[in-house]
Formats: sequence, C-alpha cells, structure tokens
Amino acid sequence: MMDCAQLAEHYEAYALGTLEGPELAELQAHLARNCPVCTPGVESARWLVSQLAFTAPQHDPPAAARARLMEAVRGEAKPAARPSSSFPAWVWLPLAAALLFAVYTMNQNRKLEQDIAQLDVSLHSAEAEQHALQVERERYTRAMVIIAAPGTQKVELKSAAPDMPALSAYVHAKMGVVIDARNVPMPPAGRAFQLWMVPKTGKGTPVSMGMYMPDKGGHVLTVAGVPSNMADGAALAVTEEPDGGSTQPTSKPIWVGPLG
Amino acid sequence: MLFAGVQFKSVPEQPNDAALMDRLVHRDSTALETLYDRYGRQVYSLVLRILQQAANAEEVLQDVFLQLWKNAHRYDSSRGPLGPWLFTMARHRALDTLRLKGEKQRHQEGELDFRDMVCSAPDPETLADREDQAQMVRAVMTALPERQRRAIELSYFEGLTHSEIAAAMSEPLGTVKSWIRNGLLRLKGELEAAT
Repeated sequence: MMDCAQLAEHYEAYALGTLEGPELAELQAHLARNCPVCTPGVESARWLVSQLAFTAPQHDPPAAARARLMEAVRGEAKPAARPSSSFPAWVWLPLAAALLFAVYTMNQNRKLEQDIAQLDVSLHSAEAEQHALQVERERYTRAMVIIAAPGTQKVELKSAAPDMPALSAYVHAKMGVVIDARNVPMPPAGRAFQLWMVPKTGKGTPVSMGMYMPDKGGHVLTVAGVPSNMADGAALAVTEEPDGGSTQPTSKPIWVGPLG
Repeated sequence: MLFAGVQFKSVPEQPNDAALMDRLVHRDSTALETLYDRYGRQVYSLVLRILQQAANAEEVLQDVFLQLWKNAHRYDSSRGPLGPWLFTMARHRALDTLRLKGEKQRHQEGELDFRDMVCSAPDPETLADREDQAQMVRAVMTALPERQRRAIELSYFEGLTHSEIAAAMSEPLGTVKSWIRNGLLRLKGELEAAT
C-alpha cells in the first residue's frame, strides 16, 4: 500500500497517461475514493500537462470548419428557415392547397421541434442540478477532511468594515485551505471575492488562491489549493475583483488574517 | 503593510469563459462561436500535431466543440479553467483516433468521463496572460535537452507509456521517468514563478 506522499511523485505521469503497474493501480484506487490529497494533486498535474498543448506548432483551422460547426449546432438548437418559392398563376389552386398543407406540416414540425427543444432544456437543467449537488457534496467532504486533519491551523480573517462578519480559514500546508463564513453580503454584479496568499516582504507578490461567492443565504464554504510557496505566506487576504478574477489584486483587501 | 507595492491594473471588459459556458447551457450558439474563436486555433494545432493529418484533425476539432455544446452543463468553472479542460479533452480524442487508426488501442474507449478532464490551475487564467503563458511554455520546453524534450513529446503527443518510450529511445526506464518528471517540474516552477 502506498500513501498519498508516495503517490504524489506520480501525479504528472498519471496526468500524461504514461503511468503503469502498481503505482497506476494504487493511484486509481485513491482517486476512486475521492482522496482529498490525490484528487486535487492530479487535477493540478492535469493542468500542468495541458500546458504542453502550447508547444504544438500553431496552425489556423480551415475557415469552413467554423461554418460546419455552427451549422451542426444551429440545426440542433433551431430549425433552419425553409426557402420560399413562387409559382405561375395558372397553377395557383393546386399549389395553394399544397402550400397550405406544407404550412400546416411545417407548423406541426416546428411545434414538435419546440417541444423537443424544451424537453432537452429541462433534461439539461435536471442533469446540471444533479451534477451541482454532487460537486457540492464533494466540496463539503473535502472541507470536512481538511478541517479535521492533524496540523490544520485556524486563521481568523477580519474586516475593517464594522458590518462585515469575520471569515474563518482552516489552513493545512498540503491539503488546502477552507474558508467558512456566514452573513457575507453579495459583491456587486459582475464582481466576486478573490482569496490571496500574501507573501512575507521580499518574497514576491500575492498569489491567487481562487474565486468564491456567498450563496443566497450569505454562506461561504470554499476549498482552495495551497500555492507551492505557502511557507513564505505572511497572511491570507480577500479582495473584490471582476468575476473572471485578476492576476494581482486590483482593490484593497476587505478581509485579512495573519498566517502563523 | 500588506499589499504595499502591489500594482493595481484594470481588467478589460469581455465575457469570461464561465459566463460563456453559462450561455452555452442555455443553448446560445453565439457563445459557442466566441469560444471557438478563442480556443479553436489552439485545439486544432494540438490535434493536428497528434494526428498529422488535416482531415482527421478537423474532424476531432468539430467533435470537441460539439461535445462542449452538448455537455456544457457538466463543466463546473469552480473546479478549473476551461482552456486546459478543452485541451485535455482534445488530446484524449486525438489519441483515441490515433490508436484506432493504428489498431493498437490499449484499452476499451467509451464515452469520455468529464471528471477526468478537471484541471485546477494555480491562478485564474485571464485572456491577457494566456499568450504570455503559451510563450513561456514554449521557451521552457525549447530550453530542455533534446532527448528529454523528445521523451515528453512522445508521451504527450503520441500517448506512449514510460516503457514504450524507453523502448523507442533505447534508454533505461528510470532515465525516461526522471526526464519526464523533472521536465514537467521545471515547467511548473517557471509557470508558478511567473504568477
């Protein structure tokens, strides 16, 4: 049996697909049970491996490829409009009858397609809801594992604003950081909260640890990975940023808490 | 004082990937167009490098974006950025095609499990820094010794295992493992240092 520390050196090989033998089987077993150390470790390695895509020589796809893709998608989402025709006057009666029948059929088809599209949307919504619940459950499980782990340190992030509640951060040097808080107000539209590890003086610039938003009830429970230079951290801080995130803080921190 | 000396910079207004994916869930095909314009070239370049044949590469490109359209609801932006997720899916698809072509499929390929695509980035990616990041990856890889780079390319672009690479390069298995891991760790270090 290998433990997570032993398996950590195989994350990159696993993400590449080169891993074989007992190490592969062991790591697969850890991932199958949502191991809170190996799962984020492999996800991080997968990101690293994905960066190799940039080493491929750059080529533009054929221009027609875009048109074909959009045609395939539009055909699925919205039925294409039918072309209209004109007819000689002497055949108008039989053609009018045929046209009426065609219009009727088209309307029926359109209604049917709309019904199918509606069902499709409902199905997607249900699947999305189920997936969201699963993600939520995994997040809670990871948070609980980190909070209960030996070596986890609790840090209080306080705000200068008197009406802002404090945030509780549970920091484990390897497994991650859990942020837990209640009664947190929503940021303005198009903005989100971003968590930062602020290094000690002379040890670099703040490192992003991810974005988060409170839920409708103002509850925040988020799990962030730890940056590789976490040992250099002086504090955790939270700023308000555009909802896509920023590479460096663009506003003053709302919450700050010292790292032990 | 905390944040002293931190440069504040403005972030250009443009739909981010998460917003576009949300629109995709609601069957907005213009969002797919934007994502294709954003990632199509990189995805095509990757699959063309793997497959070495334009017709097959275009087929995989089409397939990747159709999968994105059909499975947009399965993408969870809180688990990681879209670009790496797309590149991972594109690589899997292209390698599957390559294995089927060469009749050397190692295992039964079914539908892709999207959980196997989750890539958690150390930092949220922005449109502005993606090109810088791409250049840095190319620079790090170019700086590696040729045989070390070749070992990484054989694994990434040709989908070979450690043993297959060792055999193909007539090198000991341990050497190949070290080359690949050390090369990737060097890349990781450079990318982290830049963020």
